Amino acid sequence: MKKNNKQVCVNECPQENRRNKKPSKNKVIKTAVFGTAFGLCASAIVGLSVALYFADKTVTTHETYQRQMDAVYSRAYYDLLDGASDLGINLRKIGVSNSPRMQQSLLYEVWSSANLAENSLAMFESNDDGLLQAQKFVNQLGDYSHTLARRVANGESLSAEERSKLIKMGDMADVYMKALRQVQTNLEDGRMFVGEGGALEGFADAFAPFAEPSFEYPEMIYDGPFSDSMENREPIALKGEIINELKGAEIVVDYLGGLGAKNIKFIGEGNGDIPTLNYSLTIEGMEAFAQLSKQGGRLVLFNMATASDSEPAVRQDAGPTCQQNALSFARKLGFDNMQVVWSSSMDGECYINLAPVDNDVILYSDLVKVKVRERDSHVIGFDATHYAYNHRERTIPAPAISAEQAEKTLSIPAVTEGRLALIPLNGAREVLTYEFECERDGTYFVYIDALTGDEANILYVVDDADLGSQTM
Amino acid sequence: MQIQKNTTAATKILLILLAMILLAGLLAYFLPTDNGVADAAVLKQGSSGATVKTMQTKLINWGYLTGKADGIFGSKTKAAVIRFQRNNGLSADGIVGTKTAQAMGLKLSGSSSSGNNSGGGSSSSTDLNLLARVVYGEARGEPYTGQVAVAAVVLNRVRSSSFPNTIAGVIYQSGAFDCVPDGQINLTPNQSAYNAARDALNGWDPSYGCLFYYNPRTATSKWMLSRTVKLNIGNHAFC
Repeated sequence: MKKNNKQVCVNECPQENRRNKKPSKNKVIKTAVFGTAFGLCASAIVGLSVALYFADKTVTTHETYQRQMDAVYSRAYYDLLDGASDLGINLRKIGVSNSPRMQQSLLYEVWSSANLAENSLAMFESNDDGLLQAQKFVNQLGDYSHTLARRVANGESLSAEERSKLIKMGDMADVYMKALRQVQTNLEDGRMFVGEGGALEGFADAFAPFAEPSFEYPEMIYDGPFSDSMENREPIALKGEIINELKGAEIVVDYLGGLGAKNIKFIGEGNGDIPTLNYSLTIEGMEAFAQLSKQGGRLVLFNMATASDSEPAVRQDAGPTCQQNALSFARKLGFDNMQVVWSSSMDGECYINLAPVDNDVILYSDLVKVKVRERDSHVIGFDATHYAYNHRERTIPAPAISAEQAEKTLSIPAVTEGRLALIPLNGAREVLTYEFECERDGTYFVYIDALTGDEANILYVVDDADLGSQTM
Repeated sequence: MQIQKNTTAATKILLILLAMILLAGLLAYFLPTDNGVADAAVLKQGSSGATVKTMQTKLINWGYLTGKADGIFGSKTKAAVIRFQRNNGLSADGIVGTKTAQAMGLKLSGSSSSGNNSGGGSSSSTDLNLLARVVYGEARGEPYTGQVAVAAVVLNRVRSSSFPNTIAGVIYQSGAFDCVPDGQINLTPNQSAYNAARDALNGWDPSYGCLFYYNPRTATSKWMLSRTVKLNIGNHAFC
């Protein structure tokens, strides 16, 4: 036993001794290093597994999103295909139809398929000439069909020229279909739209025939907002000599000096639809901008920034003074016989629309807009674009019915007397009307054709929290 | 033994700590972050912050409130709001909601979303917001006229037959505006962006019909660079 005890002692005692002694420094360091290394390894494994788990999850999420995007594009594409194929068929049917009622319904069909095609094509990228032209085609076709359908509904019949235009449009619908089929071949290989090598990459190329067409695209002049005549407008009101930048600077001083314009600098020409000379200036330390028409040197646009850090000051009583200042500012610029036809105010800024009055007829097409700050009734903006595009000497017909007769056709009571107004319709036509302000759970402006007594237009006043009052 | 135990314990703690740090890092990296809570769309007693301060400054300027604007909506501020509401024909409840804020010319944060709850949300108000966000996302460093012109380009596209026929359609068209894919369209616009958007909606268009713009210093698209520039405002070429 003793021996045994001793043996045990031989094995254990030194350890006991060691335990009771201070452990050697090396041992502690060794343990610490091993511990840390082990810890690091373990945490690396844990970390990696977590990372892998999340990475896998991210990849799955990414793929799901990709498939969802693909579904959005696919839906747009197949809708586009549907719309386009209906277009061609219905245009052909109109070509052979002899009944106005059938023509009218087919024209509405074309309008609706063109809308579908337009909306679907709009899902795809637009930075390509062919795609822009293709979009223009469906938009114009829809708009044109709508205009014709309304005319047929009014008892007019389609002219030979209009029919031939529709047939030409039918030929273009075929080109359209061809482009879409090319995309379809890409898709039939099971390719997706999105991702690398997706069908989206070749999508624009399929529409290249529209960029440089081998066929003649008919000139589309008709009574609608997408008519070619609306897209290439000319500022017919601007007459007189072409002015240079020095003369222009003098004019800016003359027009805007009264507002405290300083540091007037010529900053370049504008060659948009209205050729302009552009000037930068400061008013009360704020940056401002003025554009004069090159032809005739008229102020067509003026605008200034308001301090963005200061809160706008609203004044409820500012209306009349602002309107007076707007009128006198316009008069100084040579816009005489103007009348305030609308004003709306928001965030302490008042937008005032002025229209010229010609022999007691308000010319709504020739609007001039003035922006006035309510705090001090100072003019802070001006725009004469509508005036520049539309104002001219007009021969306005005499009304065929009286204001009283027109008022009798109203279904709700008028709160003002009828006044004569020339209003633009569909952006292309002008109609002489009596304007009535009416009230029934809201304010309406009703326009009765002064020649026929028909309702020409109805506007409803919407009080908008962000835009002020608006007519719709 | 005591020390060895300590060492093992320390290693364990170290390990757990490391794992936690790793986990936290991973979680922070992978999990979507919650971008805070939207501000309330009404101001009432108990509210505080910059908007309250602005409102108080206004009330002091108009003589409804005396003292200093401290940014805390207390009982004195409430009394001032009630006086303001009475004078302006609003229901005098001392709570600044959409209508009172509008009368004060005050922009409540988050009011764009709450506007939908008030019913009759008109599309034009949404359009203004969208347009202001594009202006802010695309042109916030530009001269004011440049901001108006960017908004006008959007509206010119709506009117053009070659582009979608709605404001949202134009803005969200694939590849049309950089601020959409880079997410800057979701920033909150400032007053200047709103003013510029409103000017454009009211007809101001310094570009006179332009449908494109780009920054000549950063643009790379050959197709874009090949277009005829009609005018330059600030850093943007309009065409």
